[in-house]
Amino acid sequence: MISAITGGYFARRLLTSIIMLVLVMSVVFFADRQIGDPARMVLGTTATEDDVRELRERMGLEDPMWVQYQRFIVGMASGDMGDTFRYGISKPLNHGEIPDSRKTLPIAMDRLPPTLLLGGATILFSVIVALPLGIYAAVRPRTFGDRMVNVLSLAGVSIVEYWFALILILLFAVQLDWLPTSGYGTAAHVVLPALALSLRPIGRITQIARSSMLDELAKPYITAARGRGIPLRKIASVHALKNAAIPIVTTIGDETINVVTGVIIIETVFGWPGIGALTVEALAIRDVPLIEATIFLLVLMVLAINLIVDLIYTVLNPRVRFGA
Amino acid sequence: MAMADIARTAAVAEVAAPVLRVTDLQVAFQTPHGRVSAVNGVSYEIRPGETVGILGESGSGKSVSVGAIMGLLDSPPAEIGGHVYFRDTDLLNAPPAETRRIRGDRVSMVFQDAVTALNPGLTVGYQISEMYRVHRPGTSKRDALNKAVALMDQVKIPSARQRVRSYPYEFSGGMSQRIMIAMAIALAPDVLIADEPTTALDVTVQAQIMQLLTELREQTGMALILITHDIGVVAETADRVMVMYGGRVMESGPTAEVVARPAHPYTIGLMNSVPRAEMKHEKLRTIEGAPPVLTAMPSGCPFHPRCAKRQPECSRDRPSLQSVALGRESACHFAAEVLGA
Repeated sequence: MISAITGGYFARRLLTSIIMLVLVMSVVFFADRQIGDPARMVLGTTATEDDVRELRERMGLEDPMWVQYQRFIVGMASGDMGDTFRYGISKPLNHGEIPDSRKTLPIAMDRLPPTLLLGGATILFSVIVALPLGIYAAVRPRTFGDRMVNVLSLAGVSIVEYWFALILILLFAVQLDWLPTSGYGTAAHVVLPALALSLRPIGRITQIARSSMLDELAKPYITAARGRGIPLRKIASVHALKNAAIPIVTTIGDETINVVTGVIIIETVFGWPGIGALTVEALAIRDVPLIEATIFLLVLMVLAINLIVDLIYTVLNPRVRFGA
Repeated sequence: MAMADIARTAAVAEVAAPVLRVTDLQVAFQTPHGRVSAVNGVSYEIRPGETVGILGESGSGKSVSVGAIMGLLDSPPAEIGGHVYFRDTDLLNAPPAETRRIRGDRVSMVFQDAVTALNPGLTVGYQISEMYRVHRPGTSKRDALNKAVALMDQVKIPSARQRVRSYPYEFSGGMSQRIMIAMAIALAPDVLIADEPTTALDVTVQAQIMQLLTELREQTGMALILITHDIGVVAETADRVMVMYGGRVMESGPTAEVVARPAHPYTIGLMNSVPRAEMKHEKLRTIEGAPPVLTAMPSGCPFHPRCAKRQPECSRDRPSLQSVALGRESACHFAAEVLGA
């Protein structure tokens, strides 16, 4: 019975996600046709108007807007979002490797694993650091340790991450020569970009973990648990954390989404061959179908994260299963 | 009935040594407005199988005094003095690791509002079985859960086997209180402290919970400390009663005797303010005025501003707790007259 209600709840959430996806992608569709003429970009300033128009026709940009839009929506639904403009016309993308296909979606999907690796490492590291810090600070409020955690987490949310990324490169790659400046392939390569990206999530998750744990630790059921002789460690890590978890999970979800958008800059800084770097490349050359495919995947990731967070809510709060 | 109670109290008193001895308990709080004293020189002891009622209005210090015993007061701001001996261990001064093992196991507590005292995020089965997992290391998860079901049966929760996986919000107030009681008696404690266990409940449910507590005390032989503002509940269940006001003990003695012949004007006031069925058209009598605020405690006897029998010395000299009859004490300058009247 519970699972039937949960199932209905998720059917509704899934439907809203799909509507969100279509709306966001529609904005992308209209916006990326306003950022300059891709055909002129390919052919250069010396090309004739006729040549440009002919290429625009081949790119499908001369069709009426509603025809293009229809093609775009059908493309998303069928998983074929068109051919890249540049590949086959000039130099291949993907750092000189020739993609198997000119189809934009497979090209973009190829770049997904590095991004998932970087994002996953970042969030995992952030949670492992931030959760104990927040709990540690909450169980001894107004002590020296608590104040130190406060200062550190405030610094975490205040420092701009691409600046921090450059400092990390200067220190650990250039000065100390411990880690590679950029690139992809070994475990050492993931350290600096993940560190740069995790700064903000660590700060935010620590702050929220501390404040929601403080709220819970002041509640009567905590006093009652102390009266039952339950060790403080268990009171904090089981009793309070279970109830403090919802705001913490929400924050972890929000920060995961921030990491997904943050990779666009950080991957470029570190030469990380992920979907963020590909998005920047596609934008730079006005490769409209490729822009759409990369953003499609990024939006899909964001919506998936939101769905996962909702799923975790139902596990954490028994009442969500019954409510709307 | 009154005579039987007295006889039983006397018999218990002769047989067993006290399980809990509170001597000169002091609790004060550091506040922005200065140091306020919430409990002042409270002493009592309780023997196995005995029920002691602590009677008082809100703010009388009755809940704070047991909070100190159970280690629920954070210091700072609380400053706790005196001694609370459980057998030979001073719960106020022994190492925290030692007192933690006693709390919940040998001395346990039922809280006023079970709905807020249960963890909303954990199943009741987890919360009850945790008592075994914490205090009896080595108990398997399955064993502990089976024991939790047995306890839920014992406190008369219907279809315990199914409901063990339910969350607190799926239970009524009365059922939640039964779950609190199940946790408190899980390890067959020597002392059970019940802090206004029925205040948050409907009248019919109140009677059921009181009956359950009395039955459990009879079955297990544990000592019961019952904190309440309801003199009726005390009269029905407690062997001895301690009347508190303004953080001090006003009167103490065997319940039957105190109720029959109070030795303190405050006790008289409390008894007069109980509504009775026969007083159909009479106005309900109350004690004039309000209980003192801790930051502005009256000089002399804390009750004197509201006392019908006050004399000039009542605002000057604080009466100490004096023996007025066998096993009875009163903190009133005129205890003998009050008792004789």
